[in-house]
Parts: sequence; C-alpha cells; structure tokens
Amino acid sequence: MKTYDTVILGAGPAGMSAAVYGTRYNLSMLVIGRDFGTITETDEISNYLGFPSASGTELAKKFTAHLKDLGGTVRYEEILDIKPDGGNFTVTTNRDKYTSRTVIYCLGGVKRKLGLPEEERFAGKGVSYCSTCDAAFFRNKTVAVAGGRNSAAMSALLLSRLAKKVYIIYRGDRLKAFPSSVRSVEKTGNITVILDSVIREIKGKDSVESLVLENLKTGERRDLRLDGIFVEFGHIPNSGLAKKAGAETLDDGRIITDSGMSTNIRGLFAAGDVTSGSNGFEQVITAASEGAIAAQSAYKIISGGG
Amino acid sequence: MDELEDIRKRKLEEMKRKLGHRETNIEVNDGNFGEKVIEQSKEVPVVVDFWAEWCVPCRMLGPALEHLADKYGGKFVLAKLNVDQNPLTSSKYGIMSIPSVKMFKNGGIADEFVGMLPEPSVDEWIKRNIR
Repeated sequence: MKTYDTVILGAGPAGMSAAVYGTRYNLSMLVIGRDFGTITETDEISNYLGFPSASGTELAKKFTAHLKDLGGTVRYEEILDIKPDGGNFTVTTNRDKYTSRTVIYCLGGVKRKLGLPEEERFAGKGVSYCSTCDAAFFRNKTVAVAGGRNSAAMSALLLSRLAKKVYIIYRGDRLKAFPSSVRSVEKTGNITVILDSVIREIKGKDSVESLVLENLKTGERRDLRLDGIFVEFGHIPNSGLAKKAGAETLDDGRIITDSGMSTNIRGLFAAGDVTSGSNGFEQVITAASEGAIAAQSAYKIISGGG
Repeated sequence: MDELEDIRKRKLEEMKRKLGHRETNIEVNDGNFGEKVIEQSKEVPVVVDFWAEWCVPCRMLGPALEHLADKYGGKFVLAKLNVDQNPLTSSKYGIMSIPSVKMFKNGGIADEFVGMLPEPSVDEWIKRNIR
C-alpha cells in the first residue's frame, strides 16, 4: 500500500487550503471529503479577500478548481476511522484504506439542532437546517430563523427575498452578527427580530403550523403562526474521529492545537472550525489560514525539519 | 450519423425490453411519475431522490445513491426528480427540504429521509427497506 506524505480530511476551506499549500510543498497527498463543508450553507460571503460578493458554493467551486489547476484532486468518500499506527496513520473510508505519514484533520462541524422532542418529526416538513437548500420552498410564506449570530442573519436576509415574512428568534438581547449584517436586517422591511425569546414547542399536523415562544425576561408564552423554521444555532465540532485517535479537545469539542496547528499527537494536525485556533472565529479566511499553516507543519515533519 | 445513433439506441432499448432488462437509474418528471414510480413500485422498490441543481448536499447525495443503485443491481430502481422542473409532484408530496428521499413500494411511500446522509447510512436504509 502506498504511504502518502499527508492525507487531508475534509474538502472545505481549511482542507482545500492545506491541499493547495501541499501541492506547493510537493507533498504526495490525498484529500478526502464528503462535501464542501459548511461554506455552502452561506448564501453570500462578502469578506473573503478578493471576492466582494460570492455565494459559499461559488467559492467552494473556485477552491476545487484552484486545487485541480495545481494537479490535486478530491475523493468524495465517507471517513470512518483514523488510527495512529507506528509513526504513520491509517485512514479508513467506506471505499478504501489509506496510509500516510501525517494527517490534516479539517472536518468542520455539524449543525446544532433546536433540541426539541418533536423536532425530528418536523424535519423536512417545515424544519430546515439549510436555508440555501430550502428557501425556495417558502416563497410568499411566513418563516422564522432560530439564532442570532452571523449564520442566522445571513439566512434571514436570504429568506427575506423569497418569503412574505421572516422572524428572527434569538435568546440574546441583541443580534450578535457582524454590525453590517445587523444593519441589513434592520433595513429589511419584512424581517422582524424577536429578542430574549426561545422556542419551546413546534406545533402542526402534517407540517409546521406554529411555534410556542417564551420570553425569557417576562416568562410570557405565545403562539407564532408560520410555515417554516430555519435552525441557525451554529455547529458542533466534528471532532469525534480525532478524539477517538487520541486528540485532546476542549469541553466544547474543539480540537486543541498549537500555533503550528499540531494536536497532541505527532503528525496529526487540525485546521478550520473544528479547532481551538483563531479564537473560535468561524470564517472562511481563518479556516484557509489554519489549513495553510497545517500544511507547512506537515511539510516540516516530512522533510525532517519538524 | 445522428440518425444511425438514434436507430442504435432504439434497437438497444427494444432488446432491453425483450430481455426484461430494467433501468436502475432513471430520471422522472411530473408527466411520467405515475408510470415510472407508482406503477413500477408494485414490481420493484423505487427510491425517489427529490433534488435541485442549486442544492449542494443534493449533488453530494446523488452520486452515493447512484453508486448504491449500481451496487444493488436492480433490487431497487433509483428515480431522480428535479424539484425545480417538476413542481406538481414536489408539491403533491409536500417537499419542503431537499435532498428528500422516499422509498416507494406497492404504489405508496414505505419510508423516507431528509437531508444529506453518508453513503453507509443510506446503504443501511436501503438494506432495511428492500428485505
């Protein structure tokens, strides 16, 4: 079996950036990913240098084309296991097994749910976790976005172009998105922000018909009639396989990395939203930066300098 | 040349029909859903993938379903329906999230899931449903 210099796990911004730098370092490598990562959940990205306005999908496609241009490819496989193996690593997917001297772990996060018992019953029946996938089904309807950070604001702005009415429901006393996004939300006539509130129940027969909201300050409960709810509570770090391989994580699941994006296991690096790096600032540009650093660190080990 | 190609395709289709060959990976639309999905599901399970061009998870799930349709070699038929181009069927089945995958058996929905699933999980879902 061929031993790669590095296997990069994840084909989002961190993984693709690591791969682009990997080609510059002439590393023999493989990129394995299931999809483009959470970047495609964003309808508009306007803070990635050189791209004043692009959808997440457009950027992801450009990243893939960039890597392809440099001779790299991505295998879309499901990663099942990573095992440190006498100084090397064995990565098992649903299709094959791969051996490498280093691994760069860039598996991002999985969407956080509302956590209500009836949530699963309504998934696909008015509860959505992907506004870029499902916004088109809510043309001229009333919807809510649960959450108050950047992803919630972006999701609400996308929905406001199609839906009749959009509510943002957030437990905080003010939105915590970028000030420019908050301003856009405030300026959009069909978005109403409901603060200090949480969703206690989803009601409906065959699909979502209303939400029970509770105001955390007054304790008052009320029904909000609508057709759909988009959950934008951020992500849970997808660090399970790294943890199983022995990587240390913070209590919230993010993999602990040093300034070279190295984990506590020699040869295992991590980059992007799954790490404790970049102050938890989950941005395309920070993920790309961490990926580049991880590739350089992997190169140092391969070339005997690390 | 085009005409020759058409004749070749037609002959191939006729031969497949005569040999009882069943297409395992088809595209369906509002017009033929009844025949290709509902009616066909009375003979063999039909897995319908409701998808759209602009849905990235759909474009990831699609190849996994196609791979499984090949792997199972005719034990189920994969039918792909583009929700953008076929609003009647999408609306009839209350599609509000994609990817949305429904298993049709004996003319009705036997099981379904919504959202991107890894291929091993889809494989498990199919195995469970075509037993």
